[in-house]
Formats: sequence, C-alpha cells, structure tokens
Amino acid sequence: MEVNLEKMDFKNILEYQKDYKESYNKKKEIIEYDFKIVSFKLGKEYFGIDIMNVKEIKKIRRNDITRVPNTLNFVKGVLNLRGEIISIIDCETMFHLEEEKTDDKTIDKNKILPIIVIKLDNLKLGLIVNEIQRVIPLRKKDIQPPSPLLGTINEKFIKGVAEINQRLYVIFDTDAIFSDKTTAKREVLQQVADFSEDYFIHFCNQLEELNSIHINDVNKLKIRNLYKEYIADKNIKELTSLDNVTAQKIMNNFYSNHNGEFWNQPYVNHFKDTVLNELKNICSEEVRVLIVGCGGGYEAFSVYFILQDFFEDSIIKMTAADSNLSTISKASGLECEKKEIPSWININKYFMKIDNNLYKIKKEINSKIYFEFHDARNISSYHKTFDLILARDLSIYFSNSEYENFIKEVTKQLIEGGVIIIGDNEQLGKSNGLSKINNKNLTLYKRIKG
Amino acid sequence: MRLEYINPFVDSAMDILRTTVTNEINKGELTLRSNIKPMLGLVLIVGITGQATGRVLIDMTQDLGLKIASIMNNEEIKNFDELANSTLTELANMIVAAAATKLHSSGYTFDITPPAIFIGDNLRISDNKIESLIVPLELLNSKLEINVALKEV
Repeated sequence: MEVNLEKMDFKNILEYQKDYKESYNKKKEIIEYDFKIVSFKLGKEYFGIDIMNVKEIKKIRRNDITRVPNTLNFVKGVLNLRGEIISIIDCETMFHLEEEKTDDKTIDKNKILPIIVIKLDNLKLGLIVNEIQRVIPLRKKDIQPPSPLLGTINEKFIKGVAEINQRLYVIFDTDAIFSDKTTAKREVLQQVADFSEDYFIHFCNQLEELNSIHINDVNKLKIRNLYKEYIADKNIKELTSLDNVTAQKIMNNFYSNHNGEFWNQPYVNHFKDTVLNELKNICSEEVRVLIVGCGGGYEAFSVYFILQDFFEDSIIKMTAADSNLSTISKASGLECEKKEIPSWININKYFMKIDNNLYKIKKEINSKIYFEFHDARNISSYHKTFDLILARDLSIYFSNSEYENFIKEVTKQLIEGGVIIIGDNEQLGKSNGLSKINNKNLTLYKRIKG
Repeated sequence: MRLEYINPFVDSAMDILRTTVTNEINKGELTLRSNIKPMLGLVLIVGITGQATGRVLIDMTQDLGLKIASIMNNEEIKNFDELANSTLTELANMIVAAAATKLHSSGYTFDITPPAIFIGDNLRISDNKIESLIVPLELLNSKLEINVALKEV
C-alpha cells in the first residue's frame, strides 16, 4: 500500500502503519497454504481429494483388474498392488457422472486407466478417474461450502468447492464417503444404488409381470416418478419384491383421471374448454369419435353426453372399441347405481330407472354408440376418419414399437384439425403429423398437415 | 367387429356342429387377428353382404374334413369326392345362414353367397387389412377355426 504523505497529516500515520502491518500479515497468509489437493477429472467436471488421503497415483491396464461377481455396479473389481489386494471403484459410475457412451461396446482390455490409491485408516481403495491433473495448494478459506444445488453428488460427501484459475473444483470428503467407521459409506452406497437404473429396471419388470403391462417410452416418466414416490414413502433401501396388491396400487396412480367411472368436474370442464373449442372449428353436421380401449364404457358415455349437450343439432357418431370381450359386453347396456352418476349428467335424458337404485342407459342412446370388439394393434383395419380420438392409458398394453405403430396408424385416421387425447400421464415423443396442445390437465395432440 | 355380430356367429357354429357332427365341442377364447396365418389344409368360404360386408372362413385339417363328411353322410368317406365337397360346403352354408337368420331377428339384414371349398397344402389367404374374429373350436380331437371378418359399409 502506498502512503501519500502529501495528503496525510501526521496524526494518521500511526493508523496507517497499523493498517499496513495488517495487510502485510494478510499477504503473508496467502503464501501459507493449508493443504494440498490432488485434482482430477470425472466426466467434464473437476474434483479434488486431500493429498493426505492419497497414498499413490498409478496407471494400470484394464486387464489388471480382477472382476468380482455380484458387486454393486461401480465396484470394478480388485487389484493386486504389490501383494496387497485393493478394491477398485469407478468414480464416474458411482457418482453418475458418466459421459454419454458411444454404442461401441468393445472394451479395450489394454486401456490404461489412471487410478488414485487412497488410504483411510485401515482401508485402501483405488479410484478410477478420467484424468489426473496436478497437485494444487489451497487455503481453507478458498473453499466455499457446498451448495445444495449440486445435484449429482450428495452434499454431505463434499468438503467444499474451490475456484482455481476460473475453474471450479469440487473437493471430496473421502472420509465421509469411503470410511468404514462411519455409517456414511452405507448411506452413499445405498443412496446411489436406490436411484440407480438397475433397481428401477427391476421395479419395472415386476410391475410389468404382476400387472401384465408394458412400460415404454410413453409412460416411463410417470412410472419413474411413481417409483421414486414408492421408495421414498416406504423408505426402501434395497431391492424389494412387490406383491400383487402393491403392484396394483402403484398402477392405480398411473391411470388417468376418472378411469372406470363417469367423468366429473373439473375434468369435464377441462375437456370442454380445450377439446370443444377445437371441434367447433371442424365439425358441423356430425361429430365422429373413436374411443380406443373403452373398457367399461364410462369414458365413452361421458364424452358422448358432453358432446351431445354441446352439439345439440349434430349427429354424434361414436365408435367404442376394446379388446376385452367381457368388459365391452358390459359397456353396451351399462347399468349403474344412482350415486355413480355425477350431477352434470342429465339423468332423465340419458338413463332409465330399472330398479329402486339401478339405472340403465336408454336404449336409443346405447344404439348410437357402436361398440366393437377390436384390438387396437389392428387399428389400420379401420378405414374411417374421425374428428376426435380418445386413447387414454393405452400405452401400457403395447411395447414401444407397437405403440409407435399405433400412433402412426391412428394419426392417419384423424382429420386435419382433429384431436387425439392420450392418458394424463403419457407423453408422446416426436410424432409426424401431430402437434401438442398445451394443457395442464389433459394430454392432447392436434392433427396437422404432414 | 361389432359386438352384436359376435354371438350369432359363435352360437350358430356351435349349434350346427353339435347337431350334425358331434356333441363334444370345446370352445376356446375368442381373439382378434388382422393378418392371416397359414391355413390348416381345408377352407370353406362364405361371403356376406348387406348391413356389413365380409366373409366367413371355416378352417380345418383335411383329416377333420373327411371325418365330418363321414359322420354327416353316415358312411366312410376317404377322398374329397363330389359328395364330401358338397357335404362340407353345405355345412358352411348352414352355419352362416343360421347366423344371418339370428342377426336378422335382431334387426340386421344380411345376405350370404354360395359357399366355396378350397383344399390344398400350405394354403394362405390374404384379405387386405381387415380385422377378423377368430372362434377356435376343438372337436373330434382336431382344431377347427371360424374366422369372421365384417366391415361396416
């Protein structure tokens, strides 16, 4: 610090001296580093480990690692290090920092892998990293506490983040992650494992088998959320087997609103607001509707009542199809109790009373809906066009390619401007000729040119 | 396949086969199919027009055909001669006509064409993308499939 004598009066000199001393001491501090880290790369990010924990840095061939059966996916095997057996852990896998791998599945057995051998009390571990960089001296105050926003690695396993040459280095707390003494190890292992793809796949397989359904790209997102809810709710930390009832319960959360019952408010209004607006532009004399997978028929009748009330002067031509003969047989000639019929439905207009509490759809209404025994896999055998197609929750009955084909074929049967509604929890990928209509409550697409 | 059409075909097939061939018939689960798999060796075909158009195929092995013809004629038939062929086509005619009558009584009008018989190995029949109802039956230790395809006009 320069002292401008001309501008200073002598009274302040002492204070300046004091300041100067302090700042000098600060400067001295900068030179005194607290510890050093070994920096390395995982994925595209930079990380560091306290050098005191590092025993040595080595380069090994992939072939040197002996694989051990039945280990967690990030444990690559064991290595004989001068007579001592150490476990080898792939940090990228462990922390889910893998870069997207190319499809090339051939593993180069002679690939040189850089490993950092770390020593913790009584345990030696080899960490496979992407690239070892250099040793960086650091002061404690350079390290900022970890931000909770660091999604990939759990906060408590990080000592902090340091900025060096405009690069951020995440510094691991190796004790917390790998130490045998603390319970932290178990936690990190399990936490990583819980959300690992393998556990999720196992969960999916069980769901598929118990409910005889298919999990595919269209419904996977929701199933993943249901899985997360399930393990969080039950506090499950290991691979579990589902039973029939649980599997059923989980799937019940998948189905769209009002599955297997008459639609009710506010769903009816959501439908009216979006779908009727679209249909109004394309339909005049008749409204042609196809319901695929109509099941017990509640959905078909609900939509029929809504359309009939709105398009009073038009003819509603509805085809309702399902591949389950017994449910669709019940659908035509639907009988239900009064309490099942929501208040928005004009009960006298559409139903007749057949018993004290039992109501049946009027025959003339019933005959207007064309109930059909039909498998949606053969949708291409329809040679008709429709203004509105409902195919809610159908994806769980199809494999990926079958559903893709179904959407392709069903799109052909929609007139331009026509609307297709799929399950609330389903999501189409890119599909030709359909454009998504944004709506919070319904998943619907509009047929466009192309 | 319109729901109302299904039962008349299933019922009349069962009724006619019971009264003319054997009482012991097992019915399998009804399924839907849109592509045609190879036929068993003997196919009876009857066309349908009217409210909806389409056809009925009755598919069986040649052995079963001979057995049925033998039972219906009360004499052993070993070859597909004139008699065997006309017996089998008559069977198809009876089944489909009975179904058409049942449908007529519930308000659907249909006409049927004269039946035809196809015999041969590795038979394949293809009709352009039409979904058909399959009624699998088992009688005299053999399979018999009734394949109904109807398209609304």
